[in-house]
Amino acid sequence: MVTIDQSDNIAAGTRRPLMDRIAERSGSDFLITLAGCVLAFLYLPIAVLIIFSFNESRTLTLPLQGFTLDWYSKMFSNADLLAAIGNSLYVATFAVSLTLVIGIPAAFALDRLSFPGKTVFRRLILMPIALPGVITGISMLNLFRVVGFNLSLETVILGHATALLAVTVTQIYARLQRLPRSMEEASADLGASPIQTFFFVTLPNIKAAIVGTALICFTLSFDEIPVTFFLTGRDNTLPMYIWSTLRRGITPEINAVGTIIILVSVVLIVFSVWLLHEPKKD
Amino acid sequence: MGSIIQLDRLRKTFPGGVTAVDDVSLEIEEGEYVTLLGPSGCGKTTVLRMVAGFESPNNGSIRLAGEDVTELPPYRRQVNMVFQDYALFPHMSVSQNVGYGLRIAGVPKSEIADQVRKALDLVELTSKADRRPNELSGGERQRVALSRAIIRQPKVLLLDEPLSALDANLRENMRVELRHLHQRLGLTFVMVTHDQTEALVMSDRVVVMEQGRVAQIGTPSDLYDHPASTYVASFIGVSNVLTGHVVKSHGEEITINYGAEHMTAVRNGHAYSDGDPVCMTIRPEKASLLANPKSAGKKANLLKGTVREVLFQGSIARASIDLASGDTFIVDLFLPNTSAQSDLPQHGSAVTVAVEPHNVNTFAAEGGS
Repeated sequence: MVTIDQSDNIAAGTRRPLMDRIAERSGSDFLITLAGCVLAFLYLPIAVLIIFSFNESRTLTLPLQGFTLDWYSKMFSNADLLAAIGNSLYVATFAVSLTLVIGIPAAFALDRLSFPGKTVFRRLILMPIALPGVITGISMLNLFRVVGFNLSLETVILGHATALLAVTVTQIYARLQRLPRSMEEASADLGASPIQTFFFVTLPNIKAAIVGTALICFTLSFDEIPVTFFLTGRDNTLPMYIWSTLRRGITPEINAVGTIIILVSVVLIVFSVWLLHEPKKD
Repeated sequence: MGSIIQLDRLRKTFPGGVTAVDDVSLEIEEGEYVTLLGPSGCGKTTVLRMVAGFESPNNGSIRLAGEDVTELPPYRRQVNMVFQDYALFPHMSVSQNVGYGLRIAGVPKSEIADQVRKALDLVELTSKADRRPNELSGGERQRVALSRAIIRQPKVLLLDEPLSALDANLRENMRVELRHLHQRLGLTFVMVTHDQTEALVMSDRVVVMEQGRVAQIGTPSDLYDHPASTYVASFIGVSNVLTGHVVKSHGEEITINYGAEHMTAVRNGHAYSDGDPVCMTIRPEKASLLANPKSAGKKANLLKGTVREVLFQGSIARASIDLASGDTFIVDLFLPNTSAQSDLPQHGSAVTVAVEPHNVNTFAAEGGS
């Protein structure tokens, strides 16, 4: 019996039309190639940038001419560059703080309160995501002109905080929506005042979302050009500095800065994704 | 024993105009196990949430142990609740969950640990004290929620559909366990459920609700034997509902004209005038089928009909009888000594249904039908 079964299976295998198997095989080959192309399209430029940051030659031409860390030491002795990094850190830190201070209460208001025009309020808050940075930049520039603000890093902070508000509110609001309201009711039921409930129950459950959002916003602010372009005064942020030096041609030094930015961004983003990831559903 | 909860003419209308609770008054004695029973949307959960303080009534008052708590926030009321989804805190261990109420109350740590151990002991969860809620089974979570709610020894324990998230087997066990817990703790339990069996098995008294109003309050056997409306009769168990007119009242007995027949029922506290339309409800197991009408008791009501079908169900067989009046009447036949299906009445055979007067429950017919 057993032997008959086996021979049957083998027969069935060979009996399948050859053309079908070829089509199946080449179909999956095609998909693998396509996926490879997409990845290459996304990451080849980044790979080139990283590789050339270690290349000895001053010009960006193949073939590669040997390994060096010169560009990195040059980068660390460039005062303008270091100042730009400092400015970027300053802007990102305060923009993130400001957007959290405004965004978290706004997310709570959206989740908890019902007030007339709530839908409109939500749409208005989310709009900047769809709005090009150029528009945010120009409109804020106009506003600052009207009010009489001088452009500086602080105006850049205001601009970034505004643009990032949409991200913050969306993320925190999404987390609050998934937080069962009965949990806070249980806390109140067990004698906790609203403030105790917030610190003992609500905050521990949305903490990860807040930190994750802050990290995402930090990287977004750190890389931002369009809004910064319109709103900055004499001081440059890092992307602005890179952009301005590029007009004199790409130097391997820029590649070194790029490599470091990529490294830091990847670490921050992986960390924030890990924090925003839901703990195992109970 | 005074009443521990007094609800006086509670009314709750939600924004949007839905009146969830409409003029509900209720007194609950200390130590009672009271169940609010009704289909979803009947307002039972809203009543519970108003007692807990999560909703505030538009009208009426709530008194807890004599004190008016209508305006008090939930954290100032000495009631605790077991939530339908348990609402355990996912970032705390089992013992932190259970001890939360004491920690908020500022009880010293060593005493918290002591009481938490006792509370977990009560629900046999001591071995899981350091687990997180998401590492527990549904039944275990339910017991954590229970011990978290009783650790502060509230005046009243509120249970919102406590068994609905459990599977069938576990649910039956927990019915008994909850009942035992109630006896051991001596607390007042107020439970909400849509499951009539749960309500009948577990409670001292059941409050049947219909569209935001109280349809009937009574002990489980009260509700079963003397439902006060068709709604209650059909919501709890199976009932035959017949409508007729009062012909004559004499002492405790009333005579009712039903179709071409006269039936006798016991008044049971109702006052009827002659000619009043009246509803009769008769439980299927309180009627019997007779092959020979002469063998019936002297006072029994006799209704003629033909057998439509008989469904064999093991210990009983349920027979549907087409009465001469056109109504269908269900009779449960007990099969104590024989399960031979050949002994059961056959389709189409003429039979007589016999019902003793005290098994005919009556109430004034609603509307005309």
